[in-house]
Order: sequence, then C-alpha cells, then structure tokens
Amino acid sequence: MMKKNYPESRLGRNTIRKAVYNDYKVVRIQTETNGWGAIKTLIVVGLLALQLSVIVLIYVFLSYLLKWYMAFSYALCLVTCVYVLSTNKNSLSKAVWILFILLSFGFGYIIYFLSDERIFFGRSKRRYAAIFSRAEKFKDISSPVDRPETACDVGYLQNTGGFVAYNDAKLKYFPSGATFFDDVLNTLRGAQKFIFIEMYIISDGVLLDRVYDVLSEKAAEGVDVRIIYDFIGCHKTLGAASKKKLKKAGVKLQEFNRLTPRFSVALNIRDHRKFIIVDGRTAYTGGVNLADEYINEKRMFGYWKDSGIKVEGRAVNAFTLFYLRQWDFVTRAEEEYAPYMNASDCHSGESLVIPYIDGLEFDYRIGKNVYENMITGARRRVFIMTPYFIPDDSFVQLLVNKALSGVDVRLVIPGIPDKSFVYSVTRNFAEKLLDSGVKVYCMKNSFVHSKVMLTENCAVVGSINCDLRSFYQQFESAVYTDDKAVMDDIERDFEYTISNSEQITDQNRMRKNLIHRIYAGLLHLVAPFM
Amino acid sequence: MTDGRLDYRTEDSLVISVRKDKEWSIRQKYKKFGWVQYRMTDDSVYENIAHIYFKRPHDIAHKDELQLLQVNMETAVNRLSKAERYKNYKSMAWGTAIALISSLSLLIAVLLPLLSFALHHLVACGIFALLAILTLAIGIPVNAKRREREQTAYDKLTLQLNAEIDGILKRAEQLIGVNDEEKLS
Repeated sequence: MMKKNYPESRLGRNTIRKAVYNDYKVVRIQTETNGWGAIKTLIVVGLLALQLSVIVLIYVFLSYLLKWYMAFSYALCLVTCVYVLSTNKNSLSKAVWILFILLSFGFGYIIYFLSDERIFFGRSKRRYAAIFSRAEKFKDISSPVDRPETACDVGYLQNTGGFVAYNDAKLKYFPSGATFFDDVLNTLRGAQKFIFIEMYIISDGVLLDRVYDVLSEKAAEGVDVRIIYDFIGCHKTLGAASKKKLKKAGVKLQEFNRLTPRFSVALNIRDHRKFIIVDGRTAYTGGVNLADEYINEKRMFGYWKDSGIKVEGRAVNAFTLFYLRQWDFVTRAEEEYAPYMNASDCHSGESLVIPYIDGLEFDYRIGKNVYENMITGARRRVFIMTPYFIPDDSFVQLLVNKALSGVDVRLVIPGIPDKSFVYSVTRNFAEKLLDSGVKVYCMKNSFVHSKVMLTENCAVVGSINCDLRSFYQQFESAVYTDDKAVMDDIERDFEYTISNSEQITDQNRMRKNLIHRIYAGLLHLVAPFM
Repeated sequence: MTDGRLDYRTEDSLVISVRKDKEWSIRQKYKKFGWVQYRMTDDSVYENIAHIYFKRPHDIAHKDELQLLQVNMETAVNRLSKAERYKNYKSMAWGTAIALISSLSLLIAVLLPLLSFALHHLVACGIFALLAILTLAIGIPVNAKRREREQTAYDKLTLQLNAEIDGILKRAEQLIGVNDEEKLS
C-alpha cells in the first residue's frame, strides 16, 4: 500500500489500520461498531470476576482458619452432586456441573447454588403463576383438531402450557428479514389501537429509523406503543439517545432483566422472543430482530438468512396474551387485558395454528419437546434450519434414529459463523450425524439465522434455536402449524437454501482434523452455557 | 452520479472501501445490482483506497436473491484478489529455503578450508559443497515445476472465479431487467 507522508504522530494510526485492513481485499463493507458497549461489558465482567475472586479468597481464608471446613466442603460437594443429578437439567449440563463442582472442590457448590434457577427463579416463577391465573379468563377455547398426525402435538401444547389451537387463522411465511420487515412496516402504518413489540435485539440503524418514524407518528395519534427488549441483547446495540428519542415520542419502553454486577442465575436468563403485534389483528414472530443486519442493510457475516411468519385472525389473541403477561412481569403492574383482546375477525380456513412460547415460567421445556415430538411423528422428512446446533443427547439420538429408519433428515446451518467457538461445536455436533445418514448443509457465504423445522405433518417457525440455551434457559416464541400453503413456502425456502449450500461429506468435514476434534471436545465443557 | 442526499425511507444504502486501481470495474459490478453511486471519498490514510457510497430504491424486486448474489460476487472478487496475491507463495517459500540452504552450505564449504586444512575439514568442505550443488541442482527444477503447478492451479481458479462472477452478474442483470419490465408494465 502506498502511504502518504504523515507526521510521526500519525504513524501509529497507520499501523493500527493496517492490522485491521486485510489488504488483499478489494471490497470491504463498512459496518458500525459501538465501543461503549464493549467497555460496559468489560466493567461488568470485571466486577463478576472480582466477586468470584472474593468467593475464592473467602474459601482460602476459611480453609486456612478452619481445617474442618474441608470435611464440611467435601460433604457439601457430594450433596450438591446428588442434588445436580436430581434436577431436570439436560445430561450434558449435569455432567459439566458435576465435573466443575468436583474440580473446584470447596467453592464449586457455592457457585452452583448461586446459579440454580430452581432457587433463584422461584420468586419470579410465583409472580408468573399469579399473572397466569389472572390472565386465564382471557384465553380462547381451542378449536377441534381432527388430524391424527398433529393430535399428539396439539395435546402436548395444550396440556403443558395451555396453548390454544386455532383453525381460522391466515398465515404468511417470509423467507428473509427484508420481506418480513417491509410487511411489518406496512402493517404498522395501519395501526389504530396498539402496537406491542418484544425483541431480543434492537439496534440503532436504518431499520430502527424507519420503524421509529412510524411508531412516533402512531404514538402521536394516540396509539398505545410498547416495546420490551432484552437488556443483554440490546446493551451494545441500542444507544441511550435512541431510547430517549423513543420515550420522548411516547413509546413505552421496558427492558427485560437488567444486568447488574451481581453473580446470579438471572444473568443467563434472556428474553429471546420476537413478537410484533398490531391492533390484536396481526402478529409476527420468527428469527428476526430489529437490526440492520437482519435485513442485509449491514453486512456482518455474509448474507444474513432469516425467516418469520405473520399471523392474522383470532390466533393473534394468543400473542396479545403472551405479551401482556410479559409486560405485567417486567413492569410489576396489573394491566387491564380486556381492551386489547378479541379485536380480530375470524378468517375462513381449516389449517391448524398454535402460537406458543417457552420460558422458565413453565415446568416443561416446551420448545425442545415440541421439536422432539415433531421428529418422532415424522415418517418421511425432517428439515431443520438453525444457526446453532448444540442439542442434548435425546435430540441427537432422535435424529440419528429417524435417519437410520430411512426418513429424509436434513440440517441447514450457517456457512459463515457469527461466533467461531459456537460454530466449532455446532459443526462438531452436526458432523456426528453424518454417519447415520443425516444430510448436513452449510449455506455458502451466509449466516443462517432462521429457526424453522418442517416435517410432512407440520412446521414450526419461531425464535427457538436447536441449542441448550434455547431449550433450557431462554424465553422463546414460535408458531406451530399444518397450513399447507405455509409448509409449501417453507419447503421452497429449504430447496432454495440447500441449492445455495455446500453439503458436508466425509471429504470436507472438520472432525477429520485432530486439533479441531480436541478443540471441539474442550468446547463441549462449556456447551451448556453457549 | 447523483447528488449526495439519501432518503433512508425509500432508499437502501451501501458503502464499500475499494482499491482505486479496481474502482471502475468494481463500480460497474455494483451497477448490475441496481446500485447507483452518489458519493465517493478518499481514505484519510491510504492514498490508493476510496470509499464509494451507493444507493438503490428500497422497493426493488428479487431483493433477497440480489442480496445473496451480491455477497457471492464480493466473496468471489476478494478470493480472486487473494489468489492473485498468494499464487506463488509456496514456491516462493521453497525457493527462499533452497537459496538459503545452498548459500549457507557454500559459505561453510568455503570457510572450512580457510580455518585449517585438516582432513576432516576438507571432507566436511566437500560434503557441504556437494550439498550446495545438489540443493541447487534438484531444488531449482523441482521448484520450477511447483511454480508451474501453482500457476496452472491459479489459472484454473481464476477462470472458475471469473466465470462465477460473470454468471452472478448476468443473473443480477436479468433480475434487475425483470424489475424494470415489471415497472414498465
């Protein structure tokens, strides 16, 4: 590269830029960064590390002063391990926790108990239970289901979370974030009563500006505009100026689970749901967040492949109810539900639609179990699209059994990782399936962020990844349907995505590499937290 | 070229950093995707880098496919440039190693008799001289073959990537053309 003659003080800058700038690249897309978010993360991580150090120091101090503390610790260690075994965590988490408790003898159990949701989420769960009982009367009555292929799934969803089956909804599937948000903006422009948004990530940028224009206009017209966003999801992306601007425009903003520099399980519980509800007539969910990369306005990891679904009809009631319950939880208020319910007309249709959510307010891991039930019921095909594939043994075994039984099992994962260590584990898990006949595809030059599962009986579109965080720790949302048109659209999307993907075979698998296998094996130790 | 104003409500934007010697050809490629340049600035540090600002109507048909094609095109262009830059790096490394070994052996072979004419020095001198000659005699033709193979591989990759880029641009042109027709109808 030719350099201009700069004074000495500029040379340092040159050096830094050269390190960042890969000079073999002819084209480089400019993206934005927010340095303040990294500093905030650093401060919080530092404070957490400080607390852990204090715990360790206390332990060292106690063990020095009180020899018998060792015996006590040993007993507590064993009790904790037995306790871990008795929990309903997945087997990988149990194994990792027990290993950690035994290795960090004497203080590992303290960290475990500080991280146990059964203890520290108990109060929140009781609050959820109170909200649920208050909201019970607003639930619709399920429509009759006569298809035997979906009857079990419907029964499961009704019995575990009380989710309602509708047969009069109108659905539309979006194979990309760009088309999804174009439709969302059109719907928002027609809002008359309320706009409810729940997002994991909201990011400053063109998309937020476009949405802000509509929201501020609507708020000025008297429309009730509310947004729930996840604190961790947004802390690096949504600036204070944007929050202030939204609040000034009359938008009610609520953050979910603010990060405090206090070590607790709450750090790991995130609201990963994505909802947009307009007037109780239209609802959207899917994998997309409110950020430029989801509509490919900002380039992060090649082409961003995402998907979403639009629901119209009585089924939107379910979304409104989910939202109002969450709003009550985050605001600790008792919202009047009646003005927001039953706003939608009936649509003609026979397809089954069940909007459902998952989270720690439920006793069952609904997201994971619905996926597993779908796989169990499949006789012809199981197509999965997910950005992360870090499931537990039962999920992997189901896929292996189905593939070995002759079912066409296909898994589409990204070709470009967003987090290299998570991708290594994802590839490792995916490649383990190859021997059983599962077809694994990596979408070329793209980051696949869609969370879709399709069998010959039904489909699920939502925010639920095939990983342990989505299955066990996060609040998720999805739509279960057997709508033929939607299933055809999803099938076409799979065909298109697969045609732009590279199939992983014995020749190009990563697991052949010994270093990668060792690296992936070590990463398995932290897989439950990914 | 249009004026510098951009309406984010109706237009999408894209900013790329590009080497000035490739700027024209890159700009032509982006044109096929419907992008119109509205601004260009020089990099504040590098003389041979320019930042090009493009815009395109937000409501454009086949946008998803165009976006994917564009990413594929960018990847192919960067791969092409990378391939060009690193086309001979293996043979260059081998060549350097051969030159180093032979010159070092030759140097030792010359130095040893200068230190003393002891028998073992003379034997070692012969061995090092032989090593230098053998390294040059075998290394140069082998490395020349390697370089030839690298060139062939590079030519093949260049052909493949250029064909890929041409295919992408052709498809993009078709999609944009379809869009124009749709607009006209």
